[in-house]
Amino acid sequence: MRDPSATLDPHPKSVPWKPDFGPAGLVPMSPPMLQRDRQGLDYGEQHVQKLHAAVQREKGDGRVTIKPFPLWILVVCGFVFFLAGFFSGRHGADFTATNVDRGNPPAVQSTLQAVQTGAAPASAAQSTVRDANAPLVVHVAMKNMKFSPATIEIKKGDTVEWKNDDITPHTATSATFDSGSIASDAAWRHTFTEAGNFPYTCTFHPVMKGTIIVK
Amino acid sequence: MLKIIALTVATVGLAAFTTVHAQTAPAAAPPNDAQIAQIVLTADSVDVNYGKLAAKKTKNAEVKAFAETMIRDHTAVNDKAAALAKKINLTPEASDTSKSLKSDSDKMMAKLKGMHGAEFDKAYVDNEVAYHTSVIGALNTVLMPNARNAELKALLESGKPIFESHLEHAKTLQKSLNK
Repeated sequence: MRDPSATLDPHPKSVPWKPDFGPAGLVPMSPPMLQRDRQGLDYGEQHVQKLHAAVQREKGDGRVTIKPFPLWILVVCGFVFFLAGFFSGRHGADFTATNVDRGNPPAVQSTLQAVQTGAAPASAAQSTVRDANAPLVVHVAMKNMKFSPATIEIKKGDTVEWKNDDITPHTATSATFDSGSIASDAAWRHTFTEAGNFPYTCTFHPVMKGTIIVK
Repeated sequence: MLKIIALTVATVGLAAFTTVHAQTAPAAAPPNDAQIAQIVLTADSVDVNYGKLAAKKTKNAEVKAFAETMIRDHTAVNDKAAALAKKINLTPEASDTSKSLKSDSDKMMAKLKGMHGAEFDKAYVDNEVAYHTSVIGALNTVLMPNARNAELKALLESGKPIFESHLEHAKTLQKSLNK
């Protein structure tokens, strides 16, 4: 029986490249080439493993040792991939190219928030069963006298949170919603239940303009 | 009227490092942080005073809204500047620039007080366009380059988009009043 972990890493660090193939009379090549050539010459995986082991014995090492990744690293990687998948699945169609081009950080925040506001985010396993259509909180910054991003696309039921990062007070005001004065560092939320385009402005600073597109 | 505005612009923008004005005979050195703080405080309170006068006198809803924004925003900037001065142990210090800002605005206030109706609205908004233009000029050429304290510099930098949006707002208003 072959060590199952050997398949994870057929070329452990402890085995140098050249001695492996020197005795076999192969011309030294770059590692990826060697691997392909080996297959071409019908060098079975087990042959190579035996060769590794033989070399190690000669060098006085007990056996070929291959360290798998610690479990926590695998868990963390899995969670990162889950988040990445969740992000692209949820927002791939939601955010327009313009927002993506601007490197829209609120989109990432909103994804995290959506995960965090899950019923009981006690473990990663629970998060994985969350409905991809669950309402989101999408963030819009009021910064340097601008709404950023100025235009966002959301789904019915999503909430927009405006956060005032400026020194001066602002408002987010349209025909259908009005935040009133939002002080510096304060925030205000509005949930959109109807589809449509909602252009809005800051009543204090008419030069500030934004649009919420609800699908 | 335009000449007065132009003179105000020139004085505010250049008095800090050149002798454009007969009264500031010796060449003024670049302002230090304490002087910059006082220039900011004076410039802000001058515009708050214009705004308070306009909010009281105007009958035009748009002019009133603009005046209220000037009061609100310049008060906010002033509060922030005063808090920062306290935090970094800076005692604001009067300079030729801050003094001329004050005396110029006293003259302008006296003029505006004597005006009424559409004449007042136009004079107030024209002055706001000129005033914000000169303040942005002073920020760019005198205040921001000479500020040494990083937090003071950051405050000036965050003030710039505020004043620029005020200028844009005032220009829009100016156009609608001239229709």
